[in-house]
This record gives sequence, C-alpha cells and structure tokens, in this order.
Amino acid sequence: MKPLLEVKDLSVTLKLAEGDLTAVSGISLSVAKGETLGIVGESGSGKSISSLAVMDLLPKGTIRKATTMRFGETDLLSATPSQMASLRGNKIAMIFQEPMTSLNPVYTIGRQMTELMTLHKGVSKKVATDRAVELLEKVGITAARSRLSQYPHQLSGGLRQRVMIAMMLMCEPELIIADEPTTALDVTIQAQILNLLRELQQEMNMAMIIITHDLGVVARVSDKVSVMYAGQIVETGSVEEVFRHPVHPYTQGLLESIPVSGEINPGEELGSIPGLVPSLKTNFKGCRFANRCSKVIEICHNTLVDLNEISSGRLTRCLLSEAEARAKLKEEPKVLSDHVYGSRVDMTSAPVMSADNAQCVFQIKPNMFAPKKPLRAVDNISIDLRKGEVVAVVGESGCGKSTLARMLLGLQSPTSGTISLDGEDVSEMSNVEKSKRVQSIFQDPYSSLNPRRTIGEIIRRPLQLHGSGTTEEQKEQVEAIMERVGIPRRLYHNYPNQLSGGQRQRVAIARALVLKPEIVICDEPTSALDVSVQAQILNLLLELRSELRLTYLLITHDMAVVEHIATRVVVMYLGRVVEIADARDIFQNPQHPYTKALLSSVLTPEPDADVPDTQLGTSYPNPIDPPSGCTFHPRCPLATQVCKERAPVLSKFNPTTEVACHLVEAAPMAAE
Amino acid sequence: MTTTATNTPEMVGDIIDLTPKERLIKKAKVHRGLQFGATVVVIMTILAIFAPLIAPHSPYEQDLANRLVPPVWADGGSWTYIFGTDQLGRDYLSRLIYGARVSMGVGFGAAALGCAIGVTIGLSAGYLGGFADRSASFLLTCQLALPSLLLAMALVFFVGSSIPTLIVVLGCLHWSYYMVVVRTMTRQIRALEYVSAAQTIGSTDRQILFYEILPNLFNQIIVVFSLEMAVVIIHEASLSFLGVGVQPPTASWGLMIAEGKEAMYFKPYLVVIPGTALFLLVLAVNLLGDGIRDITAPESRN
Repeated sequence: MKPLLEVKDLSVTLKLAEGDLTAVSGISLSVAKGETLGIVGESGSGKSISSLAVMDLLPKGTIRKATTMRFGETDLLSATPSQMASLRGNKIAMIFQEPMTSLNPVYTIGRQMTELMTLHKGVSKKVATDRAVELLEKVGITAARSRLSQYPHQLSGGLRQRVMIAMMLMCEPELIIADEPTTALDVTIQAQILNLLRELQQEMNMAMIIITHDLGVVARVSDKVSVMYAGQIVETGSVEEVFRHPVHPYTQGLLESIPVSGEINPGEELGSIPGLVPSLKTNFKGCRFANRCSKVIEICHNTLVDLNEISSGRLTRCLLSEAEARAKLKEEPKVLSDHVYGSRVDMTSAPVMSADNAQCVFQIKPNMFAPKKPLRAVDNISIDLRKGEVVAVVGESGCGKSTLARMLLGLQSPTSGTISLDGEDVSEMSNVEKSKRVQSIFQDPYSSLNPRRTIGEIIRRPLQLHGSGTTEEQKEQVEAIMERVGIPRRLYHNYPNQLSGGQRQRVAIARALVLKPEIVICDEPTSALDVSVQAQILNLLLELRSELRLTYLLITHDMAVVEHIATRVVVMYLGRVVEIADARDIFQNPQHPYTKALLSSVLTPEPDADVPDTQLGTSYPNPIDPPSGCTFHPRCPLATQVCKERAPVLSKFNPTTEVACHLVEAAPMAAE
Repeated sequence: MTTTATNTPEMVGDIIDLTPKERLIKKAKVHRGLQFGATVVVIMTILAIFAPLIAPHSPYEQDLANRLVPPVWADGGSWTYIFGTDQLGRDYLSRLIYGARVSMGVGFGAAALGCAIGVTIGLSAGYLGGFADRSASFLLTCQLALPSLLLAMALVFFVGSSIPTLIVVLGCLHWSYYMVVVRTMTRQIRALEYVSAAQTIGSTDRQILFYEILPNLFNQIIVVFSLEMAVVIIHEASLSFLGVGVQPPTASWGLMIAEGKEAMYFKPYLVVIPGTALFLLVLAVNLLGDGIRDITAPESRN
C-alpha cells in the first residue's frame, strides 16, 4: 500500500549567529492510513523540527531539503504557501504539547473550533457548531453544548487537551501529528488521552505520528517506531521488534535507563548512557553516537554510517553487525533479591525530621468580588523521616506535595502544626542552623542556578555563608565535591548557561551536599531531564546516599522512579495523605483506590501491552472547592454513600501501612 | 561505583564554544549603533574632563571687538574662532567644550541619583511585596502625576540655582523607570528556584538581594540608566533655557541656546551648534543603551 506521507532524506539547517546548525540530517519517514508512527528521541534530537518541516512551519531563514516529500497526491516540496495553508488543519492536523498555550485565550472554545471548519470546508456556522458538539462529546466532554461558550482558562489541562484534539478532528484530517501530546499532563490523564487518540484513529482510519521522549507512550500506542539521535534516525522498525530486540546501542541504552518494575532491584544501579549528546554544530566525521557508545570500535570515529536494512522494514545506523551490536557486554543473570533495599533503616529510631499535623492554608480570592476562600494546600499532614530512609511523596499536580516540601525546607511556614528536626521546632531555628541539616535539590536545573554566578561560586556559596575554613580550604572542598558528583574541574569558572541540564543538576547536587547535610529534600529532581540523563542522576543520588548516609525526601510524580529508589511512599491527594506504606507494599499490594489508579496508569515500555484503562472519571477537582466527605469520591470507582458524607481518617491497616479509606477501614481482611 | 562521574568529562568540549565574554565582544563587533554611541560618548567625556587643556580660549573671556564672528565655514569666519563667537565675543567652541561638563555632569549625576532611589524602592517593593509594594506603587503614581519640569523649576527657584541643586532636583524626579523595571524583574526572579536554593543554604534576605538578585538586574539597569541620562540632559538644557538652570556666565548647552535665541534669525549657528551637540549626545547615549541591551539580552544569547 502506498503510504499517505512519505519523506525521504529530509535535512533542516538553522541559521544561527554563530554559524549553521544542521538540526535534522537525512531522515526518511513514511506513514500509511490507519498506521501510527512513533518518533522517540531526547531533547535536541530533531524530532519536533522534522514535524515542523513537514508542515512547512519552520522559522524564517531555515533551509529545508529533501529528495521526496509527498502527502497523498500533493508534493509538499513544490506546494505554494496557499496550498500548504489549505492542508494544515484540514488534511494534516497537529496537536501540541502545551494545552495551556495552544488555545487562544481571548476566544471561546466554540469560536475556535468552528472557525477552522467554516474556513476550510465553507460550511455554515450551524453545521460547524453541530459538528463541534458531536466531537466534544466524542472526546468525552460532558455538557458539550454549554462548553462552546467557555474560554480556555475555564477548563483544566486535561479538558483543554481534549478540546484541542476535538478541534483537530473538525475537518476529518487524514494525518495527525501529535508532538508530546501528554507530556504536560498528569499520568492518570495521560492514559485517558492516549486511549482517546487511539480509538479515534482506528475509528476514522487516520494516520498518526506521535513525537515523544517517553518510551512508554510510544511502546503502547504506535505500530512503527523511529529512534532519533543527534538529528538522525538511528533505528526504525516495528514497535515489537525495536523494543524486544533493539539493535542500535543507543536504543539499547535508552531502554536500560528506564527503571522497569520487576526487572531491576530497588536501589540497584540503572543502566545509563554516559556523557552528553554532541553539539549539532560539530562537523561529524564518524558515528554521532561513538563518544557515548559502550561497544565503540576504532572505525566508528572516522566512518560515516548509513542506515542499513537488516530485515524488511527494519533499519539501523550502526557499523556493527546485528549479532555484534546485540551481544551483551557482560552477561550476568539478574537475581531479583527479596527486599534487602531499605531494610537497613531502623524504623524504631527517633525520627530525624518530622511534620506534626502540619497545615498550610492560603487565602485565595476566586474573583474580584468574591470573599476570600481558604485553599488547603497541605491539610494536617504528619510524616516522620528516619535516618537512611528514602521517602517518596507522590501525587498529581496540585496535590500539595511541593508545598509540603517548601514547609519542610522552612521556605513556607505552616499555618498550624509543627515541623521539627531531631525533636527541635524548626521555626525557632535560624536559617544557617537549618541549612546545616536539611538541603534541597530543585526540579528545574535551568532556574535553580543563578545565571550570573560561576559554577565554583555557586558551590562555594554555602561554605562562604557558614564561614567554614579559609578561602583555600573552601576551594579544595568545592573541587572535591565537584569531582565526586562528576563535574569536570575546568568548569569551575564557567557559567550555568554553558552546561547541559544533567550537568546543572549535578551542580545543584554538589551545592546541596557541600555542607554535609543529613537530609536532602529532592523536588522532582529528574523530571526536567532526558531519560538517559535521568538514570545518571538517579544512580548518583543512590551512590551518595549509601556513601554519606543521607536521608532523602523525594517529591515526584514518576512512579517508576519511586519504585526504583524509595523505601517508603506517601500518596497525597488534595492536600491530604491517602496512604503511607513501605515501597514494596505499595507496589505489590496497594490499598487505596487512588494508589491503585496511579499505579495502573504508569506506562512501562512494553510493546504488546495496551494503554491501561484508568477509571478515574472526572478530572482533578479544584482545590478551592474540594468535594465533600472523602475528597476522592467523585473519581473513585468504588465510592459509596458514606464516602460522600464523611471524610475517612488515616488509620493503620497493618504495622507498616496507613490508609485513609472507608472501604479499607470497613474490611481490612477482605482487601487483598 | 563512579562510572557515571568519570565518563562525563571528555564530551563537554564541543558544547562550550564561546565564553560569555567572547560572545559579547563578537556581538559588539557587528553592532553599528553601539559602536557609534560608544565613540561619541567617549569623545564627549574626554572633552568634558580635559576641557581646560583642549579648549582654545577661555569660555568666559569677553572680547567685544570680536562679537558674533561667524564660524569658520561661513563668510567672514576664521580659524581663530572655529565655531565663531557669541554676542559677548566669547569663543563658541570653548563654551561648547566647557558646556559638555555641565551637560554630562548633570546628566550622569542626576541619572545616578535617580538610579539609587529607583533601584532601592523597586527592589524592596518587588522582594517584600505586600505593604511595601503598595506604598511604592502609591509613591510612583504620585510621581507620575506631577508635572516634573514645572516642579523642577519651582524647586530650583526656591532653593537657588547651582549645579549640585540641579543634580539633586533632577535625580529626585527621575527614578520611576528604574523602579518599575526593577520591581517587575525582582518579582520574577524572586519566584525562581535559585532564590529558594539561596534560602535553604542559609542566606539572609539582604544576602539574597545583593548577591543573587541585584547582579541579574544589571543589564536592565544599565539600559534604563542610558535612557534616563538622555532625558535628564534634555531636562537640564530646558531648565537652563528657561533661566532656572545653570546661571550665566557658566557655559551650558541649554543656556547657550537660550542666549542665542534672540539672534537666532540672523545668526542661526548660535542655536544650531549647541543644539546639534545636544542632539548628538542624546542620540549617542540612547544608541549605547540600546546596544548594551541588544548584546547582553538573554534571549539573543544563543
């Protein structure tokens, strides 16, 4: 069958002040009707640029070259701007990453949806409105007709992405390009959106290209996959083949970097790809992956590599033969041990840090005329941290986990309740005293380092503030810690903007550890990083933990990371704790329905598995207006009358597990 | 167990191609506006500082025999008085050179004073928020509502006219842009994680303000400084023109225009020459400010 979209040897060159940058070099893609192509790659691999090139939406001054670029019967290379405009949104639709910015905030949803159709199809407003209502219902939006008069800001992120999808379907496109369609969404919503996209695609027999960095997403929704690295496709094939038998060392490395349940012991070092993606300004003479490849041989550095077909539809860009490339470096049988990790923690010892009925209430004015309303960001939470523990706090965005972290760090004082360190109240301690014991690593390595200070200055600053030692001694200490976390010494006088994301996060870790704290609070330490770099950072955190006897409090939404490094897990929902348990218990025997839903929506890269069907009905409630009784009841598949009326209290389910749920409370034995 | 650490170094080389300083110089080399502005400002500064050495005559010495000598390019001009002489026979070039001292001195001084006031208010409003922010905004509204030239005239009139008075009065009237810019930037930076990080390593508010926030505001402050300096120079000229600024016989460009206005229709050079000097200086200062913004703006760093 002739593919719907065919692209051959596409190259894109960007003109920069410092010279040309070839963002994409010689990629070929094809996708047929009813087929889904996944494009995976880390940031900067050129995956988004390629899709923009297909749509002819590249920034001005960009050079696009290709031997073939065909969509249906149209030659995209020779298409006039007006021909392109009639294709875009009509035959080819694009779904962007950020539902917050891809809808125009000043027009109603209805206007934005119907405009596209009246424009391209020349139908009447009435026909377009009916179609919009029909599609909104199809994408699972209730009370669709009334939604048409709403503005984007009145909808939640998940709803907006649904609206965006419905909008794209208005003109019955033949091809959908989805660029990171679920990256900005919570896991539970992600599964719903992916399911929706798949159903719609099958129903309407559309072709779809999914661009993502998330291997789990690609594995579950696409038929074919192309792995991109530094502007080139390094491996192409069916999802089944690529995920089960990866050939290119990069694909292998990527797959090993993801903590997969049941295949790796908690706390064990993850496979990771060392080093960094090369700058695309480099004039490549050999394989672009050679500097990071574990199987590199001499000729890799000076031979340009072509894509070779190893079997029908299966291409790889590697000089090694298939067998050589696949051969494991060292074959060691994985022994899945039985819970050694975390058992060294003495759970009877006094907590090093604890929150006692901590509460944080913000007074919010919903609009100009309304009276102030309390927003309970953190509602009566008690947590104990014991020496050597890794406690993970998980939950969707808006559940108050970051506020909890800020309270523990002393950046936000609790409105009631206390935070204590070794039994002493934190509010009575000075900043300097606190900082000796508790340190933090923040989410975004791009904003957590002062752009005006050099790396050396940033790491030395804590020592300066604490006045420990002479300048010379401080410098020695800084250099020692830089070496420990893996920052080359010559970066001492460089500025943060010269470093990659992973290196910056290492700097942030060095700054946190230079004071030798006991507790480190990590707020989403890896969520802004690429998969292969995430594994490097997680490994580093684990090594440092055992070396320096650190206690971690880890705030995250990524259950795979939690399973890999946590010893105890706290699940939060709308400012309250719904379940606390040992990591193993949470993953093997979750009690609370919310915990179960969270776990089931994790997408591990298993090619033959489906997107899980989370039964969390409506979207996340507005924290200003929390539901009555158990705040989870509107989304709970098991909710009963009592859940609507009475809020459950956190109570012991077994010696190590505490759950806040009426259903578990009522029959602790009956629950598995 | 340090595999992750030891493998990193070799790969870094190709990421860092230019240090920030090199990049800055590279950009400055192709920025014509910046080069022009900087050249003019530097030349005028040198003229102002070394005025006694450069000026061919005394700016105050009157020579009634040589009144209203036209400049060298007009009929009857001579190389003795390159820019001619004024109604009292004083050398116009020397007065222009000495006038640069007043214009640049008042411009720089008042802009610096305004900077100190505006940055202080802006920083505290942006960092502390709440009551401090509301008070600062109220103060700003008051300041913007005042007709500044009129107020300056009144103040100078009451206090008495001297160059220090001019600097103080003009400085106190030109802080609003600094405040608005600094306040907004401070609010943005305050929400960034490196400020939180500074708190967790034990910094006090003062340390955060001066060590973390202020250095990040330098670019913006320099740009506003250049714009305000241009405005202040014009203001000083206006005040001198109106007779409440610099008092005769001191040379000031504004005063020169004022003194020349009676003979403007017969001897246009009396107004055109100081006017051109003023125009050049203000243009150069503006171009310099724009240039600095262009080459240091983070959005054009890549």
